[in-house]
Amino acid sequence: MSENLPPSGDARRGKALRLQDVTTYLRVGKELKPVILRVDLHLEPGEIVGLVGESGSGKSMTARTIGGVLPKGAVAEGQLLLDGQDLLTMSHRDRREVQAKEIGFVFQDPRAYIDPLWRVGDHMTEAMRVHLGMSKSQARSAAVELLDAVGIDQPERRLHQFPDELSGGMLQRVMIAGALSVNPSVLLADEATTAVDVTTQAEIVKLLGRLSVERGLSVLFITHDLALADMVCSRVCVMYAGRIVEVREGRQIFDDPIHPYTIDLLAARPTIAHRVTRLPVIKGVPTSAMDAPPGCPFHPRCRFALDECRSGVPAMVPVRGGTVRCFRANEDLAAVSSEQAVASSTKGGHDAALG
Amino acid sequence: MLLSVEGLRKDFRLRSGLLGRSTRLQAVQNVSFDIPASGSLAIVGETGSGKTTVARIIVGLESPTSGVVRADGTALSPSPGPGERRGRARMMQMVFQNPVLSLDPRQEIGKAIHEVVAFHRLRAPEECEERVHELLAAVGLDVKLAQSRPQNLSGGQCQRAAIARALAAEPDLLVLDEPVSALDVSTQAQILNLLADLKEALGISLLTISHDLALVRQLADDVVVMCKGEMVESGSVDEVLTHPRHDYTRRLVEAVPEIMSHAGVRDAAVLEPDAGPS
Repeated sequence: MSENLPPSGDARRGKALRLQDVTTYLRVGKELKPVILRVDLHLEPGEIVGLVGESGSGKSMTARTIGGVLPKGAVAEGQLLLDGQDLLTMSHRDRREVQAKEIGFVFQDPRAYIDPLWRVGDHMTEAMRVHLGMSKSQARSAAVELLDAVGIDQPERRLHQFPDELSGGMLQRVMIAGALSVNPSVLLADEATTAVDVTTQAEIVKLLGRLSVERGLSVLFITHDLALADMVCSRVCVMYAGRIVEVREGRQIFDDPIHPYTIDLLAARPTIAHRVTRLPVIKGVPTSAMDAPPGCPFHPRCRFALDECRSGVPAMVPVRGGTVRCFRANEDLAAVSSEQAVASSTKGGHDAALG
Repeated sequence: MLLSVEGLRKDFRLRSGLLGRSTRLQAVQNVSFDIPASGSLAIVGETGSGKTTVARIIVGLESPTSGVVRADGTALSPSPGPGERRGRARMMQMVFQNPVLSLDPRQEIGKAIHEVVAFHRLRAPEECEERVHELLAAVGLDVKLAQSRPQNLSGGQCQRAAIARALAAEPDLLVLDEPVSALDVSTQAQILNLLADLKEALGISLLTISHDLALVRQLADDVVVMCKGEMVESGSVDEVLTHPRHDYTRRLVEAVPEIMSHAGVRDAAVLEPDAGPS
C-alpha cells in the first residue's frame, strides 16, 4: 500500500465546515415538514466527526443538506459555512460548483451508486475531467495514483475492470478514491462500512483516518454504530428525531454517556465481552422529526422523563466537556440507571436488567 | 442429538462465457456440528464464507453435494419431495434477515400466520384464529395488528410477525439468518430478548447465522467459525471468543469496534490527526 497521494496542489489545505442552526424541510404533499431541526455542527480540517443515529434521526438528511443532494422540493435554512462562506446564500449555480468540488460523498452500498456498465476507470475520471478540466490521460494517471492511495493493488488493471469484478470492500475503496478525485476538503461517509465485513470495515476506517491526516480531509462519519463512531472519531454527535442531542469527545461518549437516549442505546447493545441475562431495552421505536411528539422528542421512550419534558424542548447545555440536550443533563443519570436496573429487575417496560 | 450435520459439502457450478467450461465453486466443504435439544449454536463468518448455504441445506432449500443432515438420528433426504418437505417444515423453520421482504406485502400478518397453522393441520379450523392470537401475543404483538400488512409495521414488529409465523409450525429448531441486522439498534435488543425468552419457554433450539460476534455471544452456547467455505474453528462461545485459536477467528474478534477501541487503536497517530482526547 503506497503512502503517497497524488499531488493535490495544496495538500494539507483543509477547510472548516460549520452548520449553524440548520433546518431542512422536505415537501410532503403541499406541506413542508422538517427532517432536521436547528442543527449545529462543525468539522475542523483533518477532523473525523461522528454522526450517530437510528432510522429517522436525520443523520443522512444532514449529510444530504451539506452535499446539496436533497430530494426535489426540499428547503434548507440556516447557515452552511465552508471556510466561512455560506453555501445557502449563494446562487444555485455557485453552490453546485462548490459542493461538487469541495464535498465528496461515500454511501452505504457502493453497488447502488456506481454504474455497473461503466469501467472503474470511467467512474474514476469523470469528475476530474468535468470539474478539473483534465485531459483523459492526465485523469487516468491521477486515477491510478488515487487507487493506489486507497490500497488497491494493480491499479492500472483495475481501471479496465467492471464493478461486478470487484468485491464489496474493494468497490468501497473505489468509491472513496472517486470521491477524492476532485480533491474535496470534506468527505461525507454515510454508513460507508455498514455493508462490508468487519475486517474490511476495520481497513476502511483506518484508510479514512490516514486520509484525514495526510490530506487534511474533514470526514463526517455517519453510522448507527456508537462503538464504531467512538473508535473512529475525535468527536461524536448523537442525533434523535432530527436534532443533535449529545456532542462529546470520542471516548467520553462510550465511557460516560449523559443523554438518556445515549445511555440506553449503549446499554441495549449486546457486547462481545460477556452474555447478559436480559438486554436492557428502550421501549417503543425511533421517531423522525416529522412525527416527533411535542416537547423533547425522546420523552415517550425515556425512563427519566419529567412533566416539563412533555412540553418544552430542552436546549443544548454544556456538561462535562460536551453539550447535551436534556433537562436533566446535570444529574448523573447513568448512575441512577444502573441502580434502577438492579432494583427493577425484569419488571416494567424497560426490562432493565444489566448483567 | 436434535440436529447433526456431518461432512457437509456443497459445490456450485459456474459457467463462464457462452461456450465456456463450467467450473466448480466449493461453497461449503467438510462442515460438521451437532445441536442438542434446546441448544443454541451460531455459525459466524463473513460474506462468502458459506454460512448461509449451510443453513439453506439444513432446512432443505438447497441439496448438499455430499454429507448428511440428521434430525433425531434420522438422515434427512438431500433433496426432499413434497411430503418430506412438509415434515421438515414442521421440524424446522427459518427466519430471514429482512422481515419486510420475507413477508408477503399484500397479506395481512394474521393471515400469514393462519396459513401455516392450517397447512400443518395443527388446530381444528375453528381454533386457528385463537392460535394466531396466541402466537401474536407470544411474540409481543398486539392482537389488533393481525389485520395489518407488513408495510404498516415497523421493522421490529415485522420481525416479530416473521418469528410468530415460524413458530406457528411448532418447530423444534429455529434457523435465524442475521435476525436483527436489518433493525434499528434500539429494537435489536427487544428481538434478542424475545428469542431468548422463546427458547426458554418453548425449549426450542436455535441455529443463528450471523457476522455479528456480540449477537452470537448473547444468543448462542456454541459457535462454528467459517471462512471461505471451511469450518476453521468450533467450540463453546466463551472459549472461542475469549481464546480464539485460529488466526481468522482472532482477526474477526479484533475487528469488532468495541475491541479495537479498547485495544487503543483509536489513539494511534493514524486515527488521531490532532491531539485528541487524552
